[in-house]
Amino acid sequence: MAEIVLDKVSKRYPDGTAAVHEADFTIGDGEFFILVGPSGCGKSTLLNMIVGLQDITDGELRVGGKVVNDLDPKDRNMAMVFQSYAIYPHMTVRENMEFPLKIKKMDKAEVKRRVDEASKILELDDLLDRKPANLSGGQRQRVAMGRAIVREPEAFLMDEPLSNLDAKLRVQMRTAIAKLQQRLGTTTVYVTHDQIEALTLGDRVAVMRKGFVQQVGTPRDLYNEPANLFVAGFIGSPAMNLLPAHLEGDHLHLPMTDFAVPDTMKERLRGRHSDRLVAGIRPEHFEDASLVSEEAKDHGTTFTARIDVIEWMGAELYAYFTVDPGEGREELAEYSEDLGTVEFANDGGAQVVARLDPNSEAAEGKELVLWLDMDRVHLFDAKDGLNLQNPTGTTGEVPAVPHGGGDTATAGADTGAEPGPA
Amino acid sequence: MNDTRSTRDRAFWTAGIVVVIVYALVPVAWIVSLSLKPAGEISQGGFLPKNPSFENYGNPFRGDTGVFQDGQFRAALVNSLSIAAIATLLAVALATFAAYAIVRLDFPGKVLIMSGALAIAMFPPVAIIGPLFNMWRSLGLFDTKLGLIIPYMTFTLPMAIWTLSAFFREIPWDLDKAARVDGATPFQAFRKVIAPLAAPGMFTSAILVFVFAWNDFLFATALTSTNKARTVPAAITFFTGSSQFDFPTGQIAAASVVVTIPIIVMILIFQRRIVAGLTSGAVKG
Repeated sequence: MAEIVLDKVSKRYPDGTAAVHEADFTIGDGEFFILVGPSGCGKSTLLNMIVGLQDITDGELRVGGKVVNDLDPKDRNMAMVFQSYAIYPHMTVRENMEFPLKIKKMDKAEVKRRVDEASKILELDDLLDRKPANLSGGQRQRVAMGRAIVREPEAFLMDEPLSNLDAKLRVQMRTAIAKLQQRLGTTTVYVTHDQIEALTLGDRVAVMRKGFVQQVGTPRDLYNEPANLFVAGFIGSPAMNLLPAHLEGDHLHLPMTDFAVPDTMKERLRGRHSDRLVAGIRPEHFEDASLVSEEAKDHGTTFTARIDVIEWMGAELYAYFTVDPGEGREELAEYSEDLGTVEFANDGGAQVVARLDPNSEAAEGKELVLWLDMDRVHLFDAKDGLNLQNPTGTTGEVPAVPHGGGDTATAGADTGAEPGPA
Repeated sequence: MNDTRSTRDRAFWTAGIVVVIVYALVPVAWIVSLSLKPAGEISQGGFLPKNPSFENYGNPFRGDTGVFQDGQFRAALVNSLSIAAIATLLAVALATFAAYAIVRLDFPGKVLIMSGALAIAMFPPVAIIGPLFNMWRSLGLFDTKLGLIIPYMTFTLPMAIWTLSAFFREIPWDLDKAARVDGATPFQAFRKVIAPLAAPGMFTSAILVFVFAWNDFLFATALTSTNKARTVPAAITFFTGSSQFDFPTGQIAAASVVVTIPIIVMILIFQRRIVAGLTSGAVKG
C-alpha cells in the first residue's frame, strides 16, 4: 500500500499531440480514487502511465515516496484490472490467479493459500478448474479481480472494469468492488466514463477533459461546487441545466425569469464580474410552486412554464420544459457538443429538466408555476467556463419536502414527511 | 414447394461433393492399387489388383526388390524427414518472432517488409535455380542438407509470416499488458501468454512449410547429386528396374504411397490443434 503522487505528469506523443497535461494531484494511501471523464480525455493514458505501460513524457510519478518514472511495470507491484478483463484464455481460473505469483517464483504453499483465500472472497471456489471460455461475463470479471488481489499489491488500477457488464450485474459488482476495497484497504485508482460510478465509488474523484484535470475533490465537492461548466455538466444525472444569463444592475436575467440578485450571491461573486454568464441549476432546485412553503418562497422566484414531457419515477417526477436561450445559445451549443449532456430541443429553445415532488399536479402540455431556489443557482463565466459563485447550502437538501429531520419547512398542506398518496 | 427445393438443393450439393471427392481421391486410390500389384500384373490393366502383394514395398524377411530394400530410398527418406523438419522448425521460429514484431511494434519500413515478403513468395523459384546452383557450388553448399534448408525457408517464410501475423493480430493486446503488469518480462509475456495463444497459427504455418519442403522436387533435383542430401521426390526419379527394359512402375507407386503417409499423419495430428477460437474467453466478445 502506498501513496501515489503525480507531480505535473504529462504525456505527449511524438507527433505532438498531448494526451495528458500536467496532472498534479496526490492519491492518498488506501484511498479509492476515481479518474472520470468522457472518452478520449486522457484518463486511461494517465492510468497506463501510473502502471508503467506508457512512458511519462514530463513530470514525476512517486509511489510510496520513490520516483518510479523509469521502473518497468513488472517491478511496480501494482495490479491492474482491464476493461476487457484480459484473463489468459489458455489457463484455468486457478492458473490465471497463480500466474503473477508463479512469475515471482513464490513458494507453492503460499501461492495456494493466497489463491484459495482470494477465490473465497470472490466466490470463485467452484470455478477454479474452468477455462475462461466457460465463464459468464461477471465470473470473468471476478477472475480478473482475483488475479489482482492475490498479488497483495501496492495499488489496484482498474480501467473501466464494469463497462462490459449488463446493467444489473454492474450495480452488483459496483457494490462488491466498494466492499472489497474497504476490506483490503489497498490504494485504488479507478477509471470510468460513468459519473454515477465515480460518485458512488470514489473517496475522491478527478474529472478530466481533453487531457486536463478539471477538478479533484470528493463527490460532494464536485456536485455542490463544480469548478467549471464542464464539471457542472458532467457530474449529476440528470445533468445540471445550463442556461445563458446576464446581469443587469442587480437583476439576473435567465431565459424564463429574472430576479433581483440577493446580497449573499453578490458577495459570493468573488469580486469577478462578467456580463455574459451561464447559470447552472440542478433539476432538484426547481419545485412545483404550489408545493413550496412560504418560507422557501423568500429565497426563490416563481415563473410559469409549459411542460412538454413528464417522467414519473415513483419517488420523484421529472418535468421537461423549453425555454428560449436567446443570445447565449452558441456558446452553450459549444459546451453541449463537448459534454453531450446539454440537450437542445429542435425548435431552437433549450430544454430544461426540473425534478419535482411526485405529488405535483404537473401535466404534459399544461402550464405550471415553478419555483426556483435562487440560493442554489451556480453562475459561470461564459468566456472561460469558470465558476464565479457557488451556491450555499448542503447536498441533497430538498427545499419543499423534508426528508428525515430536514431543516426546511414543510410545503404543501397535504404532503407528509415521505411522498405518499395525497 | 419449399420442401422440393431443399431436396433439390441437397441433391445438388451431394452430387457436387461426390464429384470433388472422387476427383481428389481416385488418383490416390490408383497409386495405392498400383503399388499393391505384383510386377507381372502391372501392364494387364484393371483397377483393383488381382493378387495384392507388398512386394513393391519390400518384405524385410525376404530379399525382395521393394523400395525399403533400396538403400538410396532409405537414405532419401531420412534426408527428407530431417530437411523438412529442420526447415519447418527454423522457419516457424523465425516467422513467429518476425510476425510478433511486425504486429506489435511500430517501426518504419513495416509495410515494406510485409510487401517484400509477399514479393518473395510470388517469385518463381525456377528463375533462381541456375544462379543458386552456381552459388551453392562455390560456397560448398551444393549437395548438403543446409543447401536445401535455406531455399525452403526462404520460400516459406513469407507465407508463415503472413499467416502468423494474422493470428497475432487476433490476440488482444491487453493480454500482453496484463502479463507485463503481472510481473512478466516482455519475453516471459510472449512465451507464457502470447505464444500459446498463437499455437494454432504456428501449427498452420508448420504444416505449410513442412508440405512445401517435403514435396519440393525442383530444388531437390537441382541442388543435390548424391544420397547425402537427396530427398524422396528426387530419389524416386533415380529408381531403376530390375533390368534395362523394365520400368519400375510398382516401386515408384509404392514409394509415392510411402512419402504420402507422413504428410497425412502430420495433418491428422495437427488439424485438431488448428481450431479457431482458442482465444475465446480472453476478453468479452
